[in-house]
Amino acid sequence: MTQPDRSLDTDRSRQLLDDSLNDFDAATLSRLNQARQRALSQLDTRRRWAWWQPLTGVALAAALVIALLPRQPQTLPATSVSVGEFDLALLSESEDLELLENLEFYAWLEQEEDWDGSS
Amino acid sequence: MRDDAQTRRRAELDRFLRDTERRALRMAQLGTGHLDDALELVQEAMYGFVRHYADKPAADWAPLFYRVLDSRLLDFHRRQTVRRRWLAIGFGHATQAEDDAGDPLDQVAAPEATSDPLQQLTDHAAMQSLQAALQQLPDRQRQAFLLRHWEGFDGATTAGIMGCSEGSVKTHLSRALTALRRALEEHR
Repeated sequence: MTQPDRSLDTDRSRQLLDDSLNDFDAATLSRLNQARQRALSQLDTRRRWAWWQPLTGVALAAALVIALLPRQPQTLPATSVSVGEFDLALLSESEDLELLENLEFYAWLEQEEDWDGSS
Repeated sequence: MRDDAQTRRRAELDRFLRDTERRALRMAQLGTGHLDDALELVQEAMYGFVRHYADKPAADWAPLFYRVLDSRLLDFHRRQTVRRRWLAIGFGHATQAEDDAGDPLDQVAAPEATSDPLQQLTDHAAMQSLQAALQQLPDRQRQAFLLRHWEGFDGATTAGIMGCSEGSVKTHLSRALTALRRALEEHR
């Protein structure tokens, strides 16, 4: 059965529209290409932001924690004896220091006395 | 690993847009009547599509892209309507003269009479006739025709793209086909 004369041949119109896509000139195609690249560049920006986002989040969280921490007193806890005091005590005990320096001599002296006593 | 997936997605999107851009441009050109306006709309549609729908499954991209484009076309026509109203207030007789300028179809070279509309015309003349006839259609009718018959979307998808009911799509399409037949008959 043939198509009635007054019908619109949609296949033909589709074909014509398809063919018309080859009519765009180079300048138009170039502008289309630029538009496409511009649209896609959003993905690169998003990707870069996705990389920085966790780091930024961590930095912000750290800053928040520091800001919210209760302020501690600046003084150091007191120790029973300070290092300076300990050194001073050592230096003032001159006798003990002498004993330590001549320890070998006293050991020899003791040996000599024992020998004299025993002999 | 994640970078690979993103690179692949970018390549898929690039391919999709490359395959779609000329059709979108022709559709926008038929809708606006001007290549520059059409390019601007397609650019906006691409940008909006990538911004909002790049993460959607690739199978959904075509209807989503045309939905964005259709929305941009609607905005364009709204702006044009407002502009025309203002011009009508300021330059009433000028727009009247414009309206009386004549049917754009009259400027299309009439092909020799044959038995079938479109069928016996040379490709160039046929395209000119079809293009002029499509440009004469109301926006919704033209979109229904292009989306259903050219892009090949089904009724439900076309309705989703156009933001209307399937029944409305059928009505728009039926009126479009009638108007196109009449216009093309006149220009055989």
